[in-house]
Amino acid sequence: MSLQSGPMLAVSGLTTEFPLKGGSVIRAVDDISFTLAAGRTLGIVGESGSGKSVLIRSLMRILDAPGRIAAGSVVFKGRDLLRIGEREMRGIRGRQIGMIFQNPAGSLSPVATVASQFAEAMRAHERVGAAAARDRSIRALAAVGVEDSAAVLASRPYQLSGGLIQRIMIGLALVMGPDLILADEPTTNLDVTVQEQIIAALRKVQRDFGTAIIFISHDMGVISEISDDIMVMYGARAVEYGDLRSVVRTPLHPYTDGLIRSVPPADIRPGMRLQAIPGYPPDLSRLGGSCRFASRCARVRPPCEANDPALAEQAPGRLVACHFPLAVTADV
Amino acid sequence: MSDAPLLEVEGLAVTFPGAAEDVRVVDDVAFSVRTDRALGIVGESGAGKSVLLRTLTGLFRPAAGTIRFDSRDVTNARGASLKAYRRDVQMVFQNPYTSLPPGRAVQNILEEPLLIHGISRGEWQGRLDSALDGVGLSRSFLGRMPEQLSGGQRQRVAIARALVLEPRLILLDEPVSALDVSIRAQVLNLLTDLRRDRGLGFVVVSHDFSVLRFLAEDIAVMHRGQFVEQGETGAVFDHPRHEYTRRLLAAMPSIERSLARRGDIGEAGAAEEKQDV
Repeated sequence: MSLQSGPMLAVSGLTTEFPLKGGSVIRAVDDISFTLAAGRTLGIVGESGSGKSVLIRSLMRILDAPGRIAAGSVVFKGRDLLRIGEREMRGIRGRQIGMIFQNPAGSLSPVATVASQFAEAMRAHERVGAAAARDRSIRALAAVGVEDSAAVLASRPYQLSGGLIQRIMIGLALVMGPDLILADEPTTNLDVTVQEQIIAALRKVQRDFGTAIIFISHDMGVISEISDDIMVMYGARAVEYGDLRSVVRTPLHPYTDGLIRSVPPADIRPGMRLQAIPGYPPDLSRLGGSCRFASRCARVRPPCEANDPALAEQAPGRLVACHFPLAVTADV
Repeated sequence: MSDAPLLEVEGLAVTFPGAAEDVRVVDDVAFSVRTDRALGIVGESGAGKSVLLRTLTGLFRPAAGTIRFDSRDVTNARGASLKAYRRDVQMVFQNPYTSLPPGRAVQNILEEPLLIHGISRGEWQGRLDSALDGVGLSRSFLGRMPEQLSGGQRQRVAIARALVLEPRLILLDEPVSALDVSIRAQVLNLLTDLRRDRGLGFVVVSHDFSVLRFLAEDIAVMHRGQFVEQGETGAVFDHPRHEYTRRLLAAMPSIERSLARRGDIGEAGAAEEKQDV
């Protein structure tokens, strides 16, 4: 992979809209900016409707209709992916940027051999002879910890376990040697022992090849297992950004704090209570001008009802979208 | 009666027909549940957790073993005695998007069990009010349909549906797994309140140890149809004895552990990183 000055990926002001009947629009991704360097993992945490999956699909320009990118830039290795033609984009998708989705079984043909699916993934981008294809498939499978690759290549997905299928999906995402992997809830609905294998496989790939990863999850525990930096999304916006340790140790946004506190801690016992976030996530079609977390926030004050705060630097490397962020303490 | 367990299960086995021979999906399982000691069952997909719960509601007939509820043998209950047992034992499923019938008002969904079990109409309103109160929903929800509700609200309706028959034992199959993270803690607190306020017995199935640590005094670790380890929840957490329990616990993602792993990324940290693949 090519090392260069500046980040591998720089996303700026990315905004994605879905038009509704009657002329109004839903902003599913609202003014998102971040950078990602080679060999680093950005974890994006958020719940359903927060915009995290639409964000990933916007980066790859694979939005479902009628979604459209309304503003922003996605500069990948010096090129703005939003300003290049579809033909050029096809050369990047799958080749320089690999993707892993939540439902591994649904992303593969159940009846075609694993070998043929690897060959197809490569031939979408270049001419590859049978021996070379096989050789590269074996190396990609080894990179994700699949040992008996000959047997796996000869088998068909319906014969394989969910964990093995997801590792094959990562292998497929790797076979073209991408610089960046986008992983959208790749371990959700998998057993925890399988999840552990998948995360270990991604870490190994990153260590061996310097791959950059964007890893999306609703689960703060999973995010913390793999991320260097975290972006917390809420109601289509980034509400907090920073390095993993700072964010989980001293969250600045009350929503991030609430997410961390709603995981039952190690010393919890039956009969005790969890600190729950009250209320429900916002309906993006009915946003007023207030902070979108205001109705659920214990710290809400008049300015929060008056306007929606922008993401701003609160401390070096720590960004938060809150009028009254939690204090940055020395407890790091 | 307060000393006797609410539910007592001994030597329970459930078999499904296989290609060559029957497969033991639940294999020689034994436990008891009291109102002051909820049971959590943890395990991975295919362990037999959901089949076990469905067998407890009488959906599957066990191949062996006994199920006693309130000191009555209900293993092979039929007819009126099965119906009475099913009134006392209610189930809440994982996915409120599929467990509630679409296109029907919440009122209709909550009244159906009352109709089936022949509860006199004079009691209905009181039962609905009590159930809604227990799950923190106002009466205005009665006219709404599931598709108009959020996931958290749907799961509250599903729990209310289990409450209208005033059961004594509730079987919860992954009760918060399908819910958004910020909603899970609300529902977990609600379950805790219900249990305390209504003196309910709980059997909770989950793949997530932290949920069971919060909801259950006792825990059973299920693997390939068997309880490979069971005991007081804290003890099993702190001193897991079975290899499989240790493997499960080690695989649970944890903020604290991942911070600790990165804490000293010196030589030792790098060496440990190497081993984890």
